[in-house]
Amino acid sequence: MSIPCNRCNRPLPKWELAGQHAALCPECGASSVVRVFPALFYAPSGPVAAEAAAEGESTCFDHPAKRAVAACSRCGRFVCQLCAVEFKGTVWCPSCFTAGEHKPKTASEPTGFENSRTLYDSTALIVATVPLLLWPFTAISAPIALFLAVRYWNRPLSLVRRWRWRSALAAALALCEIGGWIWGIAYVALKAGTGRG
Amino acid sequence: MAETRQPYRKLPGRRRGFISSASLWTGADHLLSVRSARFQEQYKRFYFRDIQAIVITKVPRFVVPKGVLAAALLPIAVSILSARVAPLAGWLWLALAILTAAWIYISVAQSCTCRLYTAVSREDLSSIYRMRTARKALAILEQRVAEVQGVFTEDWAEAADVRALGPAGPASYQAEPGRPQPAAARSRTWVSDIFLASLFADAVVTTLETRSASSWLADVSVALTAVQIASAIWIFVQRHRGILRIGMQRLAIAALLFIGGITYAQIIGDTFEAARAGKRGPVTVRPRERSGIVRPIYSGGAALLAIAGFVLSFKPE
Repeated sequence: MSIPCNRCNRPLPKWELAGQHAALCPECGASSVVRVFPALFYAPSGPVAAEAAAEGESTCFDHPAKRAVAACSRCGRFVCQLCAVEFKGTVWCPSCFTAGEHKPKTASEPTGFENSRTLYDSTALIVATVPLLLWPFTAISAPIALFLAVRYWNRPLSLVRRWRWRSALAAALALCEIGGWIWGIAYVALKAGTGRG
Repeated sequence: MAETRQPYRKLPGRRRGFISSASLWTGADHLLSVRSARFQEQYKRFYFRDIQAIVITKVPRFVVPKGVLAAALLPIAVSILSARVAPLAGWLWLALAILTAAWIYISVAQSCTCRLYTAVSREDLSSIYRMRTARKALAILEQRVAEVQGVFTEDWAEAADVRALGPAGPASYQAEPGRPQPAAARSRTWVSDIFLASLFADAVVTTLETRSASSWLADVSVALTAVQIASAIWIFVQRHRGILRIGMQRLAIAALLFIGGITYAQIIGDTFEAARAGKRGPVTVRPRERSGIVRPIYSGGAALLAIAGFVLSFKPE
């Protein structure tokens, strides 16, 4: 049987899987809920063979002996059958597909096929709030938080979040902290001046 | 080719830690797994047409969510309050006991692991770790996958006997490229040793301070706190480089929060004392010496953290 128990990785017996509810693992006794979908029974696709190029024919950028079948929709390089990566109805070359995850610079720009994103809004908020635990550090962290919030205001947020409240809150907190420091320094300076006078 | 901005709907379940969190979102044609490390998010897409199976297994899991951590801080609040509002402290202890019992029950009897299979991957969905959440998420996912793949018209269990599920090879952790390999991470380094030693020494010094207050003991305690902060920061660096295990980083975070919390507790306590004494005007902040009830709490907390650290250090690698 090919569906393993999550706990012990032993295969679950088919009579257990045939039940509508939970399948009990005979090895570890753990109860599993298993849902199998038709994709399990799709025919596996075999390796793609690229055709050899005849004289005078366009060849693949990475495989000069293979016949080109398409051009990369991003960089224009010719690709053979083996290299062609179909994605959302267009053809990409492998290097564009792996390295060229188009990272947008502004929030209005459409997103690419990204697998990671730096969260400047969260960073600004953390830099603004965490040093409050040891408040003298806010003298350094507040200007950094303000810089991060303002400089990267237009950078795209998380793929799944929409609101920019973190940046706004970070900027507000950083301004309060900077204001606090200015007030404190002015207070001490004035008191020192009054003391001398 | 850029994909247009598509709305994602959150699936039930979220795993939140101080540093990292994980969640699942459904898009138009795929499931998006989001792993957040506060400063950065990592995404993995599982297209509904590719999902072969989802397996949820009931296992005990002692995940400590932020809410439970906050509840664990209750003893400190109780200790502070018990000196002033005795009847309230009793209720707080009761609430803490009920919360702990509920957490143990849910962790033992209502927890699970959830694994998703495609032809080329086997992914543990870490945001789903409670049975109730798993059932809700599974109901939504089943519906979305069925819309794309259709449903079985015959008994799949017989047919599944001859099909291979997921990628070839044993189920094991597959590290993402660019991420530190957990196998290489160690339980302790010289930095973590310094960190734990300073915590333990600080606990001892603060206990001595409780018995005989002297200025040099306060100076030593401040110096030890500075060492703790510096070594905690270096622990973060070592963890980021994949040298240290995550447990020590969590302990460093807990220690920093504890030190910060105690500093503020001292300030709040001083303000209360001043108000009770009928003083007006600014309260003197005492950054160097801890006083009153704060000292035993600090020494006890530091000792507990140090003991937890020693246990983590000697866990088998």
